Amino acid sequence: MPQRSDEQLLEDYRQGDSAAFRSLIERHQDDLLRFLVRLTGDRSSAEDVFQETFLQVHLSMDSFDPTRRFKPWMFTIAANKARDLLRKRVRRQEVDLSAPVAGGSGDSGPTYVDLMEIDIPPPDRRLESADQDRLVQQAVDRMPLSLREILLLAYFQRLSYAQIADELEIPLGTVKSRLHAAVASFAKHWRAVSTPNSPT
Amino acid sequence: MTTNDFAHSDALVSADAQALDRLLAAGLSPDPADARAHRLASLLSLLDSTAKASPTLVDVTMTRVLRAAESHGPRLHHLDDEALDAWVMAGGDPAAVPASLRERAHRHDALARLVTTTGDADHHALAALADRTLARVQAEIDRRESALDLDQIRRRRTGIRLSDLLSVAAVVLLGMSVALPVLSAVREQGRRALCLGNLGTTAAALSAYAHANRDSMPVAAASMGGNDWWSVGRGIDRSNSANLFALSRAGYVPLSSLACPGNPLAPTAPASADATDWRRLEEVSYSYQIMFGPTRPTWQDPANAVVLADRSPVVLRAVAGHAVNPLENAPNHLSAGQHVLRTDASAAWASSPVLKNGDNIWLPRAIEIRLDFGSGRNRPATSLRGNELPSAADDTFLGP
Repeated sequence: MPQRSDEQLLEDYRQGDSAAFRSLIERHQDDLLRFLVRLTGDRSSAEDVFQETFLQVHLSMDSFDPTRRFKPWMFTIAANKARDLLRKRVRRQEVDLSAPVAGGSGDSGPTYVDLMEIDIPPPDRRLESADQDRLVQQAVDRMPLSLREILLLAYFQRLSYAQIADELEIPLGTVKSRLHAAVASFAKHWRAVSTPNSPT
Repeated sequence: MTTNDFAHSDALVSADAQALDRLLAAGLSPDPADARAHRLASLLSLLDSTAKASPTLVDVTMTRVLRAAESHGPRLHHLDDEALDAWVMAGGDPAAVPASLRERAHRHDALARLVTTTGDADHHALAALADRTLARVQAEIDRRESALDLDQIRRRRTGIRLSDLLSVAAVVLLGMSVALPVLSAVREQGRRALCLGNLGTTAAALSAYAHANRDSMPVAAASMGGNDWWSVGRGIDRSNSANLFALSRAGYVPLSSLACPGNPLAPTAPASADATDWRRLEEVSYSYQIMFGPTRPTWQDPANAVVLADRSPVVLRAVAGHAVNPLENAPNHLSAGQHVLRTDASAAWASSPVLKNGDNIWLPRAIEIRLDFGSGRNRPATSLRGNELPSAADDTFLGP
């Protein structure tokens, strides 16, 4: 029997097949949890948002447009839920607003990042994986939320610009410029955290 | 500030200066009995402007602000910029990126992997998370159901027992079970009359359009180029309904006349002033001859083909990936049949999608021949891909 599509699973769940919902969760749990850990910065928040996301999928399933794809819809819900959580957190810890967001360079013009000059470990040269994980997270945490969101949505879903624009309902040009800014921002912060002596 | 501040330049006569003070003290709402203050208020009202910020202005401003905010952050090397675009367009596969940018695309790929890879996935922990998530969803379902129960208990406390209510409800339901079919039949008759009226209005609009456009019928996009035509709201070159929408956009017919009362999701006004199509398939009430092919009917064509009808059930099912039944009627009128409009401007009710000449209005001739359902021997399940085209101007094939 061919594997049912995500959209078919959701429809089957709507029709009363409760096992279909578990299949949906299990199919996406790895990707979604990794995405949320990166976005929220810690595992327990990510698990909270993970549950909230599927609860929202259940509550909103009647409004899902079956001509669209499920996965981007789910990621968009997850990103919205994570954003709510992060906003609440910022309100609680106002001190964090002045965290080392901009890298502290203080100059007014943009800095240019050349990927060829940055040490990016290839997949087969993983150092201490837990250490690397922590450093990546530090770099992501230093990014502004709007850029973090678009970087992670693009990386985790591998969507085309047109698809991202469609799913986030923002103009194509904005998607492009924001993703470029996001990659530059991540590369810069990665360089800062992974090479401790580099200028930030 | 007082009026004395203006003493060195043009000055008001002292009565007006005092009136101005009074006017300011009254928050610019003059006392009706104060004629001078009134005149001053009228003078000041000349300064008002009727200008209003348009949504476009807001959008443009926001885009500029965002761009300015982003330009302060770090920027990619211009070759990395190009490589990122190429990598995204290649679906994240650096091997598919042109050789000159491939090395940099590999760096983008490595960067993406860095972010998307986290510590070892603990499968036990994930299974537990799935269980907790399902439990949470179940708890929400239980909570909603018990809220319903509580409502019932609350009603009980008002002095009326549930059994009393149930017996009343039973009587009401008995009465309704007789009345409902009668009422719904009356309502459906009304809906059909309104729908037929819509086709009449649309026929007049098509005539006017054809008169102004050398007998042609509305087309929003000149050609298609292999795209599907059922992606409503995703661009005029991918949506046949945009061709019909063009009739309304050009001002020949209000959108409300393209909304069948049998389609509860049909909007009666465009979503925005610059809308070029309905937003999604479910909003479209009427299916229009597929205008993407090389052959298109003209208005008042002697072949007198059907060019518009209540919406196609075949497209609705095919889009959802389900098998279709070509003999199914439009869903607008309880699947009992559909109104059809011909190029001679006549509108009528048809109880089957197969016309007297054997043409099925939901399918192109190529598929009809393959299915051979004209013989009545079989009613096979089939499907559409959404890029099929009519074989000739008189081959009625309607969508979305």
